[in-house]
Amino acid sequence: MANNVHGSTSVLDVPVIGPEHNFETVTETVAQIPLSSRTPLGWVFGFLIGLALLGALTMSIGWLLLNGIGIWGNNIPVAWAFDIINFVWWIGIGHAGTLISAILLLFKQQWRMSISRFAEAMTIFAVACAALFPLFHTGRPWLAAYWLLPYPNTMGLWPQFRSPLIWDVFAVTTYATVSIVFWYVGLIPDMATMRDRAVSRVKQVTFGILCLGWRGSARHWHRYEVASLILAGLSTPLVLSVHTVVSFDFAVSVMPGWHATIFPPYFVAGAIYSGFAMVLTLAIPIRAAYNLESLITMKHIDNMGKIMLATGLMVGYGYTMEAFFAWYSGSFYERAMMYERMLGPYGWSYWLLIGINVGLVQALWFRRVRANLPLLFVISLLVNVGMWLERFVIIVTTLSRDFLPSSWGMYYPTRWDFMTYFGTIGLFLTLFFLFIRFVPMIAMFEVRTLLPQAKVDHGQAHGAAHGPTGDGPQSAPPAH
Amino acid sequence: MSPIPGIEVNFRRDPTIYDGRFANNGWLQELPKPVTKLTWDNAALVAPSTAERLGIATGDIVQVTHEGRTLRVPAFITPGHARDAFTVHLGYGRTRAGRVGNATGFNGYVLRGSTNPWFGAAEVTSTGDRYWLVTTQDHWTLEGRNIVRSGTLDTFKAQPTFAKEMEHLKLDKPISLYPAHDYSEGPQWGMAIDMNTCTGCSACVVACVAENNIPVVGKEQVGRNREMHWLRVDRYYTGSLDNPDSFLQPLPCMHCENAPCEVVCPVAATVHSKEGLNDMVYNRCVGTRYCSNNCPYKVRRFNFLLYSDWDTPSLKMQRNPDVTVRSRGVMEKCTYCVQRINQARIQAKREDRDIRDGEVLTACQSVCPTESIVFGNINDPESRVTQLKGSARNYAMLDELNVRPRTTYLAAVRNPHPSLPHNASVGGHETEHDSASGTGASEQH
Repeated sequence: MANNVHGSTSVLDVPVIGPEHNFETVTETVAQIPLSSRTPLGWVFGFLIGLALLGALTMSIGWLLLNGIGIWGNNIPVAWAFDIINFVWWIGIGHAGTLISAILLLFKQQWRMSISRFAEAMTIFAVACAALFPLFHTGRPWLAAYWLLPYPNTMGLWPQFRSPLIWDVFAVTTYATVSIVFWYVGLIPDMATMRDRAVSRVKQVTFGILCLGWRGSARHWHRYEVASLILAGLSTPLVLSVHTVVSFDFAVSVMPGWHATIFPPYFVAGAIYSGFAMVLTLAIPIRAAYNLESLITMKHIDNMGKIMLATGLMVGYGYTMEAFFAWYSGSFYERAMMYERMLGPYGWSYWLLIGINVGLVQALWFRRVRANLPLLFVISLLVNVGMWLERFVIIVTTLSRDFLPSSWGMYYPTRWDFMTYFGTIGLFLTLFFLFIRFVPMIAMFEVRTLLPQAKVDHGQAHGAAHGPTGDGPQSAPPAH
Repeated sequence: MSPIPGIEVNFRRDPTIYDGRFANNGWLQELPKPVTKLTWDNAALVAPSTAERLGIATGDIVQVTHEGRTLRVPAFITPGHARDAFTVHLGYGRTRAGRVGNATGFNGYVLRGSTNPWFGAAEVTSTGDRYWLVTTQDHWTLEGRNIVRSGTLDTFKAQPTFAKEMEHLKLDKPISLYPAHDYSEGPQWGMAIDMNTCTGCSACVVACVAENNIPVVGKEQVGRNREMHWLRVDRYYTGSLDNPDSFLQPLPCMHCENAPCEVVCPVAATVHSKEGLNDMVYNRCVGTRYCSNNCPYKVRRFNFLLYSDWDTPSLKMQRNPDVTVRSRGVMEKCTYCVQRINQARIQAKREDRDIRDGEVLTACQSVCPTESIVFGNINDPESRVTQLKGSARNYAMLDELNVRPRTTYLAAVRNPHPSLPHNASVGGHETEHDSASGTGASEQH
């Protein structure tokens, strides 16, 4: 195939699973990665980088606990800076995993199957990184760790339920819990496969415990289907609600540039946008390194590029509306804020963000760009940078120049700000490398249902033996 | 660079450390100087036009030569300073002042002789070196905002309520999602600050520091915008930078009736008292700093590090025993000297009477030499503060946000000589186009 004869046939016109696959090859391709006793050198290299950065995180959190958040550059007026930027950035990244596993499941999008497992893992690890910030950015994390929770106590004290930070606590803990449960439930049938294929006793026992006694009976499959549908139903509103609540941290305040009704939808679109950028950032190198091109095909890459384009356009609409409303509101302070945001001392960050999230993303209109893996990888990395800058712009430009010019002040990050930030990237990488080494990173049992063979018993076969949806395996040549 | 002659150098006693005898006093070192807002240093003050002519910026070290003596000192651009002249404040640059005063600033005495002790001819050379000067207010224009309001005597006579007319968005009635507090009972505390009489001397700031155990954080932390002063005196310039009108505005916590800080605190560490105070509960604060972000007046101060000295025995005796010494990681701010209110309340209860007007003086009020700051019960129609708040000049800053501040200002009325250039009024919102261009033109000094 391959040659792009004016888009009629291109590398993108491929099924969601390679034609050479059958039940056995799918399972073998995926299961041999965690079961193999040979650790690829690239994995060791990447894991060590993650571990080194994780060390930096441990060190910076230790120093933070010893000295206080004064080691960062935060000040008055810019009392939130890298801490909350990173929190919003990480939690946004997580949203793609939930969208893929929940919303796309409900919409019966078959292409989600081969990327859902590791996208969900990405969600959990991103939420873990995100959760560090609201805790450790407080002045007294040892108290914040439980005072924000509604627990009965002798003083009759409750959290202050009008505060968006309390809503955050509920939103993020719910999100983390549901994501972990959903991910784990989806892992159970594959854990049984791993148990059955494992040779060493240790692996047999470990996977045996993790698969919770799964034997693949019809009753197991039925319960599994019900559970995953319920969890998908629970997760679906979370895709929209979590980042909506995060946006309330800003929208509920009185600050110009924060107090905006556009924030919830605009934040959700931004979250999914950055999330798909991260999935692409991870998927492109992983499928190459582990020869998974026939399972994560160019069709997946193409679809993710399209979603990035769509959500990127929504985000661009958000930027436009922010500027429009600042003018249309007639509010003196909103107009001044927008002026400062565009032409003030942090104007460079605004225009860089516009350049990436409004300008660069337009390249994804072109099939040739979506088919070009190195280019797509660079774009997805830059989108991650752009979405980080978006939060920087929102938080720092608003706080540094608000109502009274006497209190205006610049924010300069310190080395500890950077160490904490890159440290969480280390935590993410470490967890992710452990995941791809020890857990089947593609849902084998789900992907097997994509095979033509799975369609023979239509209606009886387990798994998502749904009718053809247009991009399913029916376009693949008949199997042997 | 070759020396530039024809410059006058002036010597003045320092506004905070005087002739240097108070150089080892941390409170005075950290007190922003009334006009420049410099802390922990002196500098060679110079007019903007002269600085432009000499090609120097704030923080550039210049070498000043006077009667054969030289001093290297950083320049500091000061609007309204006389042209072609430098002012060097004395008292800095001491080497044996003590732990606090050593190695701060530049010794003006090195330059000063006995023949011309206060001013004389000098040459100035730009050295190309830089020095980090630290101020508490980096911005000097009002950006066309109505936070400071002022008019001439003629304006006032024509329309005594001119300051109220400058309101951007008038609120007919209070609007809130939440049920209103009942402020009809008991004393309700409020403050009125008269900008007509404030001279900007900053004694209020030091009094507040002394009363409320406010820590000294040092130059490096002030440079990171982390000074802890609960009360600050804002300084703004309007008009031409070479001959501006300047305004000084003491700014404590506004004690908003609809306080934006309170609704965002997740642990209810900042709450409203039934007497209208916006209280801080240090024990409960976990330090999310959301309250500070949501404070339109930016009066909240955060203990980013452990600023209070808990160990030095002599400092324990120095502190006010009625005020908590705050630890790392908690937010703090002006309390309207709640400890003084409570002392007066105890006394009043023992004598079975109400608290009398003037019985509670906040620390800032008690030292104000011009009585610009008046505090009291706004439920008492006879109290001085109620009467001042009834003045035609009274206005609430940022009233359009519906925060209903308890601290209000009396607009400045000035009576300039008709032949002098002056602004008829200050504080009315300019049209947005004007202000937007003004924003960019003067964004940094």
